Amino acid sequence: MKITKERFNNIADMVKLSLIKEEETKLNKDLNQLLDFIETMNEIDTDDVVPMDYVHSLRNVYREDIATDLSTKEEEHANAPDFMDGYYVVPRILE
Amino acid sequence: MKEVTRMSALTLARKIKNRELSVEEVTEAQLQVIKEREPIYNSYITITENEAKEQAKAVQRQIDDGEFKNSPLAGVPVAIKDNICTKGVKTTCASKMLADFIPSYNATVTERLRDAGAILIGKVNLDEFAMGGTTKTSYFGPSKNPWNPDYTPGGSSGGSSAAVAAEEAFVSLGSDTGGSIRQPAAYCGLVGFKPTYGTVSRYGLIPLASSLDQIGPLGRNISDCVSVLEAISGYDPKDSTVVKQEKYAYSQALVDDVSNMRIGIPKLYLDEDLNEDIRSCFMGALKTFEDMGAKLEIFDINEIMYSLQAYYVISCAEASSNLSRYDGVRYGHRTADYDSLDELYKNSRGEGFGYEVKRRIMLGAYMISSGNYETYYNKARRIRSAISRAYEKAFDKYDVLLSPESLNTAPLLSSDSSQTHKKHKSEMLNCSVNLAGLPAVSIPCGKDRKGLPIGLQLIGNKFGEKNIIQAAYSFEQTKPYERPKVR
Amino acid sequence: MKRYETVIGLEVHVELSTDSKIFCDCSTRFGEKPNANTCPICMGMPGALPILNKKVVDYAISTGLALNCTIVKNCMFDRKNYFYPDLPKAYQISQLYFPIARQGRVTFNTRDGNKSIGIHELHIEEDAGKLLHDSDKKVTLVDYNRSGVPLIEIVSEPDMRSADEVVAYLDKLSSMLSYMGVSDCKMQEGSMRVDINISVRELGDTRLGSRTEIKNMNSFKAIRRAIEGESKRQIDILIDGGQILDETRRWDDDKNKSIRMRSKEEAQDYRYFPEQDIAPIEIPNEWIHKLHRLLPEFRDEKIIRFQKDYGISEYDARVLTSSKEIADLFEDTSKLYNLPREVSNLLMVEGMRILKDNYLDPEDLRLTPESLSKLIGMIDRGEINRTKAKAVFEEMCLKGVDPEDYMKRYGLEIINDDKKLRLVALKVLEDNPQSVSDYKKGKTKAFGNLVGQTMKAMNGKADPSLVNTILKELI
Ligand SMILES: [Mg+2]
Ligand SMILES: [Zn+2]
Repeated sequence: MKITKERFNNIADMVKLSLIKEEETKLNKDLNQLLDFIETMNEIDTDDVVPMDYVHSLRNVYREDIATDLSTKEEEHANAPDFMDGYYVVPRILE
Repeated sequence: MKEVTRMSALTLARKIKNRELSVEEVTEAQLQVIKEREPIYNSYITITENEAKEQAKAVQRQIDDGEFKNSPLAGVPVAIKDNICTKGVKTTCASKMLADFIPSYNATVTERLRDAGAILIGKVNLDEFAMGGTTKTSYFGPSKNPWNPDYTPGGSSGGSSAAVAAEEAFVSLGSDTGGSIRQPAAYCGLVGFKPTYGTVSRYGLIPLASSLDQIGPLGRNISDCVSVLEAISGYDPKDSTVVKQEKYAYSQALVDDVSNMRIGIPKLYLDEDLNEDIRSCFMGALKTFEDMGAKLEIFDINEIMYSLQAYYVISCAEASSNLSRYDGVRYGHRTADYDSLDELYKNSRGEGFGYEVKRRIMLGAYMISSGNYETYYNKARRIRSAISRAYEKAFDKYDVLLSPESLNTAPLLSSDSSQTHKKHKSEMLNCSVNLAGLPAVSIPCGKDRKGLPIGLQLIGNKFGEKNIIQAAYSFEQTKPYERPKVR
Repeated sequence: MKRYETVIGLEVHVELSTDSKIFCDCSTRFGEKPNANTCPICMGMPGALPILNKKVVDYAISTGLALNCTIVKNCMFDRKNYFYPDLPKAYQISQLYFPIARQGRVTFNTRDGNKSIGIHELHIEEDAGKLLHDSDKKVTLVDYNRSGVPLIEIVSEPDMRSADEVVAYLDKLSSMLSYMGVSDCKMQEGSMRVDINISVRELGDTRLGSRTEIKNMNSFKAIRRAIEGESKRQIDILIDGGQILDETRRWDDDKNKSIRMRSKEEAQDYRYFPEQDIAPIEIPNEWIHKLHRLLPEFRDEKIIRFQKDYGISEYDARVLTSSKEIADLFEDTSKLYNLPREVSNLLMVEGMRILKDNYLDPEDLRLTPESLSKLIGMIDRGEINRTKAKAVFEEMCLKGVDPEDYMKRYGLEIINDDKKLRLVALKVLEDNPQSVSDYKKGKTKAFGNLVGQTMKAMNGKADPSLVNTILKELI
């Protein structure tokens, strides 16, 4: 097992996923199998290859600093699960 | 009226222009066919009946007023993959997470199709968040292959392929991250076109992997696809990864001539355990090209051997980040079961995402988590460089590369879709194309003994769309479109 | 007894003064209705993509140059992944691997001479939204107006040793940034926020001790107290033979102590990786040179030059350069009418008072060098007396009036009509025989009374020196 139970729980916590028991078992097994497969990529020597940062050579794509917002707020806000007095609402966060 | 929906998109548009058909009657006929066939094929998640009828009326009026003279798509019903945003129309990504999400904005491609006078007939099915190759992970159930409903139409753009093959749309838009346009096109006997990365704006495409995703058309012939591609491609100030190109006159490449075209065939795919039917079809295709005067050569490109591994690392890493925003705060599914913020996050995401999505999020996060960046992520990016360089070298010698699109035809929907060695091989070439950002098209080249279509993949150099269009068009002249026996 | 020193490094977040946000065309205006300055991009709606605001890059390069940094000519953005309701995409677009500027230095004066602080790096990032904790309803409210406002983060080396040095460094930074127009650096509005990295060590030790990080400080007063409080806490631990833990803490200014937030072990794993939605930045030399030429003269240089060029005191030069607006006003006015001491006096005394009384910032003043030079000329030629001039000056500052128009309209000009003055003076002498005889007996105070009476009769519009002369003649 590459990914220990502890590491697995730690990642699930990090990406904020609650998992039911069966999912958890299957997922843990799946991930370890996938890792075995992925690690076969180490068979190829890439020491003299620079990692690819971007697919093509585009550089410096900008917009000008002009504020012209035309978006429709009501339609955006309509998707909110909990919206009150203009605010999005979440459970109280204790600092 | 069913004859109407059998035509090619371009033929239909011509008849509309010539006043042989009205946009309204075409739309009506299309909706009729959809209603009849949806119970079998389940291509659509949302059918925009009212919007389509209204739009049909408006477009007909504009045509009557002399507009759309230069648009080959005016009045043509098109389907859009449901991971592409449509203002005011549900865009679900086939996920419970976004089952009720209504964007307040259009994707750039949506806007461009509308501007071309195309009629948006509905939103088509896919694997949840485009993760998969069968549509089986869709929250709304799988789509069926119009050649045989026991089989998958492929994926992730499986609704896009099923709809066009079942004549529930003339053309459709799909998205391709690791073969998701080409594979379903091959499985359904269609043409599926994945453009060069940076050709079509991704604005409004709900991302799977930002550095790999590209939108493209599926159609019943190359000419239909090219007209859609011309409409949707080009510079967009809303997407900084779109390249400014001189012109996108792809239709100029619809020429029946491959004489002296240099075609390379990766050896990898000849000595492998190719399915017999696919092998003979592929060999037949090579012979056709040779007969038409192309210069064929077999060559080695072993760098792509590890493309699937690299693809997993990069696509999942990007996906895990791209899918973090679904947290139940601003939009999307929110659990009913929470007291704290942490519970709100975990339960909303736990309930909203299916297994495959969770699997990729977990894997992706692990790939870039503390201590793993160099081992996995950078290693994969090095392989990506190597693949890209190997392709560059190949295109010094060849105009187009040819391969089978897939090492098998569509699997049964009931079959276990877990990874097999053979499937890896099949995906290898597909995703290496995305890793290198190249254009590729899958075209039909025959059928197996079960009567399921077989696809031929043509890969081009970066921004070498015209070469593959010309090769595909020439090949198509020898193999006219064959429709499945849908009613 | 062992002696300790405090070692401090700062991470300073500064909101840039652009009109629009960093990746979308929403306004950056402060104080709008909640969630009014938002769009699909800064709300992280599915499929929306960022496009970089060019001015943000300009500002970052300029700041890098001002801080003597090396500009990283091929820089790009990375994603910093973590969940929090104020972060709409659940990642912040920031720069980790290739920040836009590195290895700078900033020098300033302190009581103990010049101090030089190393700049580790400067990077561009986006701000998050704001949370309001509603205790009654047991909810937290989220406002995304600030989400996507451009920030630069300036990370210093651990080169500071006291709260005084920290405050001096921050003063220097905010002066430079506001001189460049890059940021208004208003701590009370949150446009400048400071994370303090602090450790202590025995004097003479050159190694760095375990540090704590105190997050999100937004007032000079609190920063001072936090540094003093936290360094005392750490020293006390060491004296007791304890160990300092590497942790993140929060300063509670009411309780005057820092409170533990999380330890190093609990530190978040941000899973940084290159942002693929934004084309990388390539900065050619010409771009750098152009911005370099546009850098303004900063405060410290101005203080020296003003003393030399205008013969004013160091103290005056300091006050006048406290903001670029005042410094420019002083200099431009003095160029139009060469009476720098008069300009300096008005600006320093009256100008500063007006700002304070009206809670204004220098940029709110409606003075122009043209109008101010007119007023200075009028004072110089004796066309208006000082008291009246001050009143006009205030009107000019607050309402932008033209001094000549204003004086004419309200009849404030000085009357130098000799004949008229003599008539009035004669009447005053007639009416005040006692004062006249007192003056003749040598009581100088009585003369003052006569001058005052005459001025009063003239409604204050007479030239006092002329009044003096005439009265003396007549007596
Ligand atoms: Mg930061
Ligand atoms: Zn915005």
